[in-house]
Amino acid sequence: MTIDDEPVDQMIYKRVLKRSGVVDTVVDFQLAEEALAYFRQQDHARPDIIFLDIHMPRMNGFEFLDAAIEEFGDDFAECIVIMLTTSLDPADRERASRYPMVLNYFSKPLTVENVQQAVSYLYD
Amino acid sequence: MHFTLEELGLLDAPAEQKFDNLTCLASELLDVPVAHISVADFKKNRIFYKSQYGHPDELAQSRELPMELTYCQHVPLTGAPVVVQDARLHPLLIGTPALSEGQPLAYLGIPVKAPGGRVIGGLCMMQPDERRWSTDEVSRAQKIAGCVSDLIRLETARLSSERLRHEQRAFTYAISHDLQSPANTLKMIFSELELEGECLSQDALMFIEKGRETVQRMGVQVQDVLTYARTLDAPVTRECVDLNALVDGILTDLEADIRQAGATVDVDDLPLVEGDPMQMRMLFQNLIGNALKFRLAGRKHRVSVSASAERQGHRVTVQDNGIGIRPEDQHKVFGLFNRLHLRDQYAGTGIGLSLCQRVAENHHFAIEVDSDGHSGTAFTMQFPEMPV
Repeated sequence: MTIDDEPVDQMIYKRVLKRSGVVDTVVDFQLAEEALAYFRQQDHARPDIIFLDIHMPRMNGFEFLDAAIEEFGDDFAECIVIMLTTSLDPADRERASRYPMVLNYFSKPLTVENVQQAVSYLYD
Repeated sequence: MHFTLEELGLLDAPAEQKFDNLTCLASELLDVPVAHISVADFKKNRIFYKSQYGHPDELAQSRELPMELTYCQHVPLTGAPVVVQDARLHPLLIGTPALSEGQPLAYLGIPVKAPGGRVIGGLCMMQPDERRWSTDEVSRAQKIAGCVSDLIRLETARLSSERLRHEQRAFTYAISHDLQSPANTLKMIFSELELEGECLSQDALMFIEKGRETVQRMGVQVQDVLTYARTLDAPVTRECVDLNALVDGILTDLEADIRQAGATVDVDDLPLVEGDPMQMRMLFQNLIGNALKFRLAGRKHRVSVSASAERQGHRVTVQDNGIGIRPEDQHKVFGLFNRLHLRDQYAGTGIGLSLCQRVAENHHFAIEVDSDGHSGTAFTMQFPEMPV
């Protein structure tokens, strides 16, 4: 799952994820609220990995995590979250590390190596 | 941050009321004919009087004395209060050039400190005949000296914030310029690539197009940051601004947008306000621009600019019947680069309302947002009464 408000970035993520050869299906949302609505649906397909942007309109990446944990609990997606952002603020990195499900923090742009690394966490 | 005594306005600087008030107060409170704030200048081996009360004409003119001729030197030298009952008997003064005919016999000098604790001079009180200073009197003098040190600390804080603002401005300009130039280079690269159009796949052409759009947007964003930075520290001129003429001009500029929005715009009779014409224009341009932009599909769009006289000024409101702002989002709208919508729905860099907020702050008035989240938005400003 990718959550990022930037349509061009979303388009490129899809291509990179496909090129990595290790990703089957991608669900993408431009607004964090839409992703929350997705998790609310009965029998939604659970994503293995969420790539989550920080700076987004209305609800930012951290607000999304807080809202998801509040509503669905710590294991809201039985998955890992990777922050994917242009933020250079060390405070953002620090804040991200306080969420148990956030396993890494990648700076944009996303690379195939990033994707492979993220997938390797699933088998750890 | 460190500032020199010159930068703090404590050496070779004009007298200031805020210091003179305390000198005068010290003289009255301790009932002495002469009081001053002395600042030690060790480089030029002199004492400079930043503030003085009751000095003889000649000294009042020159405002300084060679260090060795003063009692005051002993305050920064010892870093402690100097309490002199009778100068003729005081160990610091006996046999020194400071002790000459006609000098005061009683003297009380309390340290004045720079932030960080260094004693830079003293608040000093003196009288011609001898005097036994009570503990109570010394304690009162210390309280006033504390106020003098506080004034210096405040000035240091003010200078620090000035310096930071200055550095921040220089930084913003530098970084904006440094971002603008690679953006321009990219623009040229995309133009060159486009010339190869016939050899490229549809996919590649699509990427070139996206690339151009992105670089274009970056240019706008950098420009917006620069505008914001300029407004941040632009000196505010205070002129009489006729909001009727101002809003008229803006509506003329926005004619195309109004037509495209199919909107009706109603404007009340608006007041004269005091402010900077450029910044006022920026304020109303952004508010009216936003009011036109955030419209609800399928609803006849209306924008109004209205005014009402208040007891101490005028309320001016820019209102629309568009999509509104949810109450829980309202605290975000003035934040720099904050946006509530995706760019393909409502364009913008998220800087407009930050600018409005800044203009309001520069002019010392408040700007408030009011919306139920679905039937429109109103921004209200409370302008103070025009001074007559």
